[in-house]
Amino acid sequence: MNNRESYIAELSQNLVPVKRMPNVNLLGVIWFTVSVIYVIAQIHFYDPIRPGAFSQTISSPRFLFESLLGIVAICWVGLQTFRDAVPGLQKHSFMIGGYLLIAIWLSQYVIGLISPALEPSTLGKRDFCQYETMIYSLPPICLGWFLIRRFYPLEPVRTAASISLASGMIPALYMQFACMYDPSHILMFHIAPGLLMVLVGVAITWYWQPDGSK
Amino acid sequence: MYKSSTPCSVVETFNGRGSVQQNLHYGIVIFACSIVANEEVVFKKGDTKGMPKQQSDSARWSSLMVRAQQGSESDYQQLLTELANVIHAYLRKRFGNQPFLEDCVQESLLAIHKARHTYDPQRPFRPWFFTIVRHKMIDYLRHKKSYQRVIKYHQQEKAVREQQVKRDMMEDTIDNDNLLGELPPRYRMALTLTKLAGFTNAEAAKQLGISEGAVKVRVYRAINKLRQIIEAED
Repeated sequence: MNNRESYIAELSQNLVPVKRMPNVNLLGVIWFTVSVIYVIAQIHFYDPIRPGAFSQTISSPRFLFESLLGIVAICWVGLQTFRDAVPGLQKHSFMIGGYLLIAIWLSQYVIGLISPALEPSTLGKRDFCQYETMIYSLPPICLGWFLIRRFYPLEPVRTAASISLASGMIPALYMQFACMYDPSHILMFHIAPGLLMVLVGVAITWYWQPDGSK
Repeated sequence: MYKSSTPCSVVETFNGRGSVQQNLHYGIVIFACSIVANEEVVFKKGDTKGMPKQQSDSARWSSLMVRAQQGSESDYQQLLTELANVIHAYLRKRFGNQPFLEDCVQESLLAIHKARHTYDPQRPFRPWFFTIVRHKMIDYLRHKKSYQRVIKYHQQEKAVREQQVKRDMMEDTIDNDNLLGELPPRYRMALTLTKLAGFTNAEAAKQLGISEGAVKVRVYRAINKLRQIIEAED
């Protein structure tokens, strides 16, 4: 018996039946829904949100567009992350689409520096919005990775970065309802901490690998 | 069923138990064996024991994997044996005959074993399978160090002339038809010297007349380029 044959025999020996994996798209949507509910609940629990924030979506279509674009982009990235954990499922174009949507969404705030969707004001300002953004994104990162590590992410760093990006952006997005509206404040105190969580998320997942090896 | 005729004990020897001269000798043996093996695997298309048509392959592998997921050892063994031959042929076509192919095959088999629960019978088998192989191949090249260290140990006692012979031999195995042949020459040389011929970055830098940092950059770019080419193929 040569080396390869003995290797295959070893792999085949005492083969344990495996459970079929759950629907990865459905799992991605569930993760997104649970994470959004958790973040909204946490933000409301900590401090009241900006008065009249939701009515501004009606009075300013651009604000509504900005918010909807953010929701779609985050949901897309979350979904693509779960798909990325299954070999052969992720389409390159689907992945590019998610990052592109995030970029278009974030560019709205950059454009807002010149022409904001709403009149900038300090109404509803939260004292620790940047820390809230970072802390609230931790449970979605952990939950997401807990679910994803059961699959087989071939590019663990990319997958971890994507789930952390989506997780970091959930509180960052909701902060535009909960905190003051000013594009420069949003970029510096909501988006930047959310992006920082990509590094934190990659570090967490690095120490929490599926097979326990680094 | 086709069984690989490549002597794996020879591969082990090549991986570090012999001198450079022995390694060269065994390299030739492996090359010859692999040619024989791959002729059987790739070129006998009418032979149903070797490599049948893609469609029926995919359907059979899918059903074998489903039974393997339920715990059937014999089906799983048959599946892995068939897949190992396919992986070997796939890699050989892209890299030419290289001594690391068997290691790469086994890395891929291990990945398939770990990822077997992620295969969904409602989806085609081949994309799932080749995505794993492709990633493992790139991973293997990126993290390939042990072989390099062993070769380095042996090379310390050998003259530059022997290194030149080894380099020439390694280059000879790379023809224009395989994946390495598609790389720009400067990237191909850097990758060949460091990852295939087993030279350290410093030694490769000396041979190429560039800095060690430049070698690292070229290797990094070569691997990225390989990934792009493979993804484009798929």
